[in-house]
Amino acid sequence: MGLINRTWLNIWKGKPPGLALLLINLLAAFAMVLPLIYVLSRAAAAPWEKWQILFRSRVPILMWNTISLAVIVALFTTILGVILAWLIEHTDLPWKKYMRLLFTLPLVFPPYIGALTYIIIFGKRGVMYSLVGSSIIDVFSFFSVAFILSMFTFPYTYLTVSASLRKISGNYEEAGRSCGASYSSIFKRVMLPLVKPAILSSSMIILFYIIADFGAVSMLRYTTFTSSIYFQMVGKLDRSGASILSTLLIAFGFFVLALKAKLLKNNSFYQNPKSNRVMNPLKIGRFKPLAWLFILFVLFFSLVLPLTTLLFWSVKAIHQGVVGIKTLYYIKNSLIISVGVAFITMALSLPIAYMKYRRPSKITTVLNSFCHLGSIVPGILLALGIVFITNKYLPWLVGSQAILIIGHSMRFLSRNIQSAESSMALISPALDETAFSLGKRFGTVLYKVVLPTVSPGVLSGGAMVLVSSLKELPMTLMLRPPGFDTLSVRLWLSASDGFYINAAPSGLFIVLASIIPLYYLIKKEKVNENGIS
Amino acid sequence: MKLFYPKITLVLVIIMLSLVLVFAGCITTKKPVVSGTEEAKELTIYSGRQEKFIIPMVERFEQQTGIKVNLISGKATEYAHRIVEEGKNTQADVFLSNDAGILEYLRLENALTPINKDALEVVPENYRAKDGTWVGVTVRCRVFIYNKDLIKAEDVPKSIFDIVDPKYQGQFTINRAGNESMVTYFASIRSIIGPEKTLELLKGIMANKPLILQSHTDVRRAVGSGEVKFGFVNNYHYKTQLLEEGMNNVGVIFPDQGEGEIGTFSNVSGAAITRYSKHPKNALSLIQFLLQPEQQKLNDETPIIPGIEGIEYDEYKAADTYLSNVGPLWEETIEMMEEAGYSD
Repeated sequence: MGLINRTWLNIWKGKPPGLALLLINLLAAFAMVLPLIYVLSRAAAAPWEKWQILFRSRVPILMWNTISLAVIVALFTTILGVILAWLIEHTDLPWKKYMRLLFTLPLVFPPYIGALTYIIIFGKRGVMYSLVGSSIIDVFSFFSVAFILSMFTFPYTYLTVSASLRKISGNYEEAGRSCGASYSSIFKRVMLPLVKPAILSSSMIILFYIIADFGAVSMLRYTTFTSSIYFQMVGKLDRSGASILSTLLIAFGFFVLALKAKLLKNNSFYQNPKSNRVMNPLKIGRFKPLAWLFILFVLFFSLVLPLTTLLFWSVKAIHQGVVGIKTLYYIKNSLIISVGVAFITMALSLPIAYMKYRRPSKITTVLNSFCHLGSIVPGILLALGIVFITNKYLPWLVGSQAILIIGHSMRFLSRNIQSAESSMALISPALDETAFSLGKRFGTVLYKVVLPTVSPGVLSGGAMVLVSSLKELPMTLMLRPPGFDTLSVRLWLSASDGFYINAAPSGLFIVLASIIPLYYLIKKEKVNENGIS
Repeated sequence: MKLFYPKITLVLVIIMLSLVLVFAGCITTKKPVVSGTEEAKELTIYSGRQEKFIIPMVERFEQQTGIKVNLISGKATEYAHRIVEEGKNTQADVFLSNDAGILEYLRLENALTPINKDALEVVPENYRAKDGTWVGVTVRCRVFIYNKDLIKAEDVPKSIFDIVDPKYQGQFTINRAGNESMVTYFASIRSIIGPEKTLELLKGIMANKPLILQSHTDVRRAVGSGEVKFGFVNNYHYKTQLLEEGMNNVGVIFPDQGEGEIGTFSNVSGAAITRYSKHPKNALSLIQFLLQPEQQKLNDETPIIPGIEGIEYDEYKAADTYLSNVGPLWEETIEMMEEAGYSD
């Protein structure tokens, strides 16, 4: 007994967590892993012939479709993001403040809504066709799909790379110059290596984003693993096919993660923030018009075109009477779910973030990484696992709104924890330990002392979760109770029947709501900026 | 002596009231399932058919009978799953399907209850289950819809077996394999020509790289708008497309009509009463209601009852298949479709 006690204390370095704290963390982690384990076990239980059939017919095509698309988009967004970040941060182009904002804005478009606007304009019989008699481009071709997805994901690269470009001290450039290096060689040999980690990690984000995307690729009639899993799931009585494809997707995800770890190894750079100086902007002189052309091109296709399309067709739809009382009902349904999800993730993020910073141990690390699974596992896999489990063990949950809320919470918990953690990292342990020493109970300390100080982080996390849940498509489609239509579901249903215009108002509403978390994001950027200077 | 004790009276009144409520509760919650003469005036429908077709009927039914209908619309496969999984606790009294194959699946899972024979007699025998567990409500047959601007009627394939011809590569569109009626269609072909030839047909179709779309609505609109030359839909989709202004220069071909050919395949949309229905009587009245000529006329699709006045029936040679042969072939057909790469 004494030995067990001692080991237990050793694991926690003498500070074991309270029972309640440990239980909450255990339960959250357990709930996150269970669906995945279940998907894997279903695949393992599938007959061997089923695997063979899939490997012969579908897997090679899906593999090629998924990987080629993800790689091209990652490549394209990297080029776009790096050029933009460099133009805005390191050259003498004016209006930097506004451009930083503008190139963050495309994030308000979930790619499937972006895809919708492109189909409305460039679809086979879209606006372009009725104006000039030809749709100009084939919107459903591979390169269109890659282009459209890039237009709505490149801000991830842009933001990461520009943040790291801003941190490069002017000293390096000067050192290079004093050794007689040209700008291009400084760029290649000094700056590129410094932003390489940023480029790599943002391409990973994009890679995972594309692999997990369901709405945009299916609207653009492109089949990847994720969309195939969805259609296998809803269209088949036998769901082992969906679980086999899911298993392959999980394996692929691990491969990519391992690759990232290998690439980022020996790639850390440390800068001394005290000697940090702002770099002199490079005068690009006669290349200015070219730079402007590039900036306007990206802005037009990622912001102006989709936004005006959405506005215009929403007005048209309202005129045609497509928007009625029912729309309010869809908004209400969307809000019921997303507000519920935001509350759950906010409530859970606090004890999980607290545990990470105040009770660090190997156990904590494992539990914590499980809680973050939602950020890398495609929603469709979680949904598949949840469907399996609830059908088998919790049939009374099937067809209730609760299951939708639980599913979304699992998917977006990670986002809220991340933002709670970043606030938590800033407060001193002395604060809550003082409260403990005054004899306060754990719950009181957590919610009376810790919560008020981390509340900005928790709340901004909650806002981000709220909007993510509003946008979420595949999980909502799979878990919703019969007849329970939300904005995103309605948008999807109209689009899959080819009534793209009817989908515009729902899209506009989601886009407008997405401005809220962006506000937090930009505010956070500013705080970081001030912290540096 | 005091005759009126306010407190005691109050207590007695409360007791009596609660007793009344309890009894009332018993009457409404304990519905006579087997023998009862009284059934609560409510009915839950799981429907796999498009909501807009069903709502007008349901509203009429509610008006005529006073039965409150709880209509839940979505994908047929999903609800079939749900009915099986919910077992005895199922909410569903009636299952409305867009396809016979999925009704057959429920029959084989023993999830349905036979419908009163008298109600079924109006329906031709090949459009209902052998054991009377499901019945067709409308007929829909598989036809080619083509865009008259892009292809001449004589160039449109006349048989499903013609579309494997390489000259049609990339020129036609079909629905996702996830749609129940596609599986039933190929299962019925399988019942006529056997597994090898069916697999060959499927592989041929896929080799011709058809445009695979999300729904039949999407298919007919793709043809109507001229995105592709022809597509494979149900006959009523053709009629709906004629109503879409600017996209309605379309024609229709009933395939496999020639001498010695298999004929055009007819499927049904159908109805069934679940095995554990809590309101079987209401369920039966709904089915009878749907089979009445007035409601049959309301359908966009072809009525299942022959010879209704004022209805133009399509004249065609129907494929010689019993829909109730399709059920046992369902799984095998899905496997063949997967084998051919036509799987989601």
